[in-house]
Amino acid sequence: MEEKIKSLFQSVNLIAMDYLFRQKQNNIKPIQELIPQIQEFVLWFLEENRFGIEEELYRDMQNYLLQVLEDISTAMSQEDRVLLHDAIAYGLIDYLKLFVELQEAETDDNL
Amino acid sequence: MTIYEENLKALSADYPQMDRLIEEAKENLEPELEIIEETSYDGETIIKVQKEDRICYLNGKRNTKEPAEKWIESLGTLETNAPVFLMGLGNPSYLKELVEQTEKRLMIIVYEPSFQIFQYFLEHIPIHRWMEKHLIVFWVKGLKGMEDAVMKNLIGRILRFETIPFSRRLISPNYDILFPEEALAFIKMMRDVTNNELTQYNTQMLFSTVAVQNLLDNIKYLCDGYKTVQLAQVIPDDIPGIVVAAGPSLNKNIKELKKAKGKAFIIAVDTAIKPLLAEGIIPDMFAMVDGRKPVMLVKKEGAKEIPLVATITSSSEVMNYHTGMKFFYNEGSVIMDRILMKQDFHYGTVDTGGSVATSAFSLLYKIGLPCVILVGQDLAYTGNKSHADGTFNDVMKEEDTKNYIMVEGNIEKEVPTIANLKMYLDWYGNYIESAQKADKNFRVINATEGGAKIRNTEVMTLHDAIEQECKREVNIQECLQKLSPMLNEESRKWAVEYINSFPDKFLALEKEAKRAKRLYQKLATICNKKNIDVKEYKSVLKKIEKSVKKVEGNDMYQLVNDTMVNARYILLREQFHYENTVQKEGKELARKGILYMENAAKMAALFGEYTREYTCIKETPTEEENINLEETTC
Repeated sequence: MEEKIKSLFQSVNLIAMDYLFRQKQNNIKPIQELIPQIQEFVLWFLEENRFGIEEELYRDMQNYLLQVLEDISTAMSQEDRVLLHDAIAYGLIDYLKLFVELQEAETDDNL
Repeated sequence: MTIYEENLKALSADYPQMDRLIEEAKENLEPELEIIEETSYDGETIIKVQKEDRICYLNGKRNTKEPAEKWIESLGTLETNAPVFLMGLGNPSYLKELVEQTEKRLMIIVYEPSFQIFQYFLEHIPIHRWMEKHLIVFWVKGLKGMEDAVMKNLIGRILRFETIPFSRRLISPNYDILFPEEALAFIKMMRDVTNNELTQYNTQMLFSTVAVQNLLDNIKYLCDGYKTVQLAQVIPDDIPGIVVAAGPSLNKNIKELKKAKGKAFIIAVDTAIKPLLAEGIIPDMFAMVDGRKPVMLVKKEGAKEIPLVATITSSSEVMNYHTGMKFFYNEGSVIMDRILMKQDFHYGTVDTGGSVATSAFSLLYKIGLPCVILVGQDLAYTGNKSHADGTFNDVMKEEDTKNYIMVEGNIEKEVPTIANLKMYLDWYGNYIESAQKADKNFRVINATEGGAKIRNTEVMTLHDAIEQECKREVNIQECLQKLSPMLNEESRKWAVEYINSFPDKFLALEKEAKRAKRLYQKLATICNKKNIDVKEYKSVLKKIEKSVKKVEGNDMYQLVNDTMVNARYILLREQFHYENTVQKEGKELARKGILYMENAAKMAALFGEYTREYTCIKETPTEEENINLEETTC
């Protein structure tokens, strides 16, 4: 799963960067193509508390991630690029980062 | 005072009456969308808009500011007075960041397609400080006087060739979703203006030298020539005009034109002359604008006597070959204006539209004909050919058009075309629209039996168009014979003297340019010193200003300037570039000034020699002048 998260992070991060710096605002189609991977990640996260996060915090994180997913879904149906960028760049990416950074830290430790 | 009231005050201070226009719109415009307020996760008020069955956010609910901050970062360095075009005020962060993060004064053009969003913006965001810092133009759809056509003019005035590299643009996110037509029109306007500017630059680069040479060769023809404005005096205003262009479809209905002869005012483009004469059809006039048109295109028995309407910069080779009446119109040339307006101020204009056929079309409209019929005006590669058979070759070869732009056809569903023809196509559509707004009875029939569909025209076969419109007999040549040349004897004498003074004028220009160069050298010396002598610096600048004014005031300067297209644009772009210190700025000014004036002096010397050899009119003196000359000699 680690590799999948890393790959998903790189893909969504690139879309968000394109939106911010290259004015490539049409993020609907590229995100649409990543929906199966996003769903897989969300399910994986919701399935169990894999990292021993404090229970209350984990529940809040679960709820917030569901809100992010709902916003992504609304944005896709309304073709709302602003909401989609917001949900991706300041929602989903924050979650993905948690694991990518964790992996990077573990790799650094191994070194 | 509320934010809204303060904003209205600030707007009306810069744009008188804008407060009234806003109040009027507030009362009269029907709401077309619903603005829904929400609070973002960081406590800011954000909005989403419901338009028909779609709801879209205009600001992010998790992070309202970062997209605007990053946009500003991505803009790079903005030069003073650089034009920034921004569509959409729904997320005011974009304008706010632009205004607050940029210290240099910018020219910001904000286009808001929704009056309701503009009103919401005025009610919530104080703008008077922003307007003090930058020049901000608010263009709001629905406000009186802010129609699309006017906006195109505004963009055209701001987005010039020299400002294009400094300009920036942004369609605020979701505006292209909520206002797709307006966003597309906005992008198209900017694209069209940019394309026009680039085309004009490239054309100038391509033709600058040949254009000046042609002008200097052709200027003598003004002495016995006619003005297009005179045509309105003799051409009846109840007959149609026919523009015969040389598109590939001309071969389909060229024979029909015989029936129109003597019943319409027929103007052919230069390239259509040969196929017309081959069919035994002599047009009433032919038109030429191209500076490089080879004479072989019109060299055919009977061609040289046909009256000609031409630009002064068009091919001197053809002009010298031609012996018939020559008609001219104002083209913005200083020396031409002096002659055209010597006798009276009615010089007449023709809107060029970029091609010879569009110019001929505009001429027919301007002389007041009620209906214009277009023939052979394909503006496309009908049958994959660029021109009619019998123009450049007896049979034109087919081109590979698979990568060409496809446009709606006149007869066929789609036809291939290229960028410049597409530009003429758009020009026709817009021009006819404006003409019909000014004169509701003005009609244009597209009798090109093929090619691209031209907006605002009636599509008809040439046979039907002639049957319907060409009813009255008219002898155009007899009409034209009633005209006298535009200059009477006295004015003509003046014009000859004026033309013969060109070598002296070039000499004066050369001397003044050399003087200006010396002054720029002095400026460089002052700026190279460790401590700049401000008094001396200012004094030299003043002298430079005077000298440059003298250079620019010389009638011949325009010709010199026109041949130095690149240098001119470099200087024009300079106005957007500022150095940190007066010393650095002075050095840069001197460097460019020396180079420019050096070249200007060289060109003036070159043209001086050329005019002495080729432009001056050496006329045989009349008998009376001979006697006077003999008496003086005695």
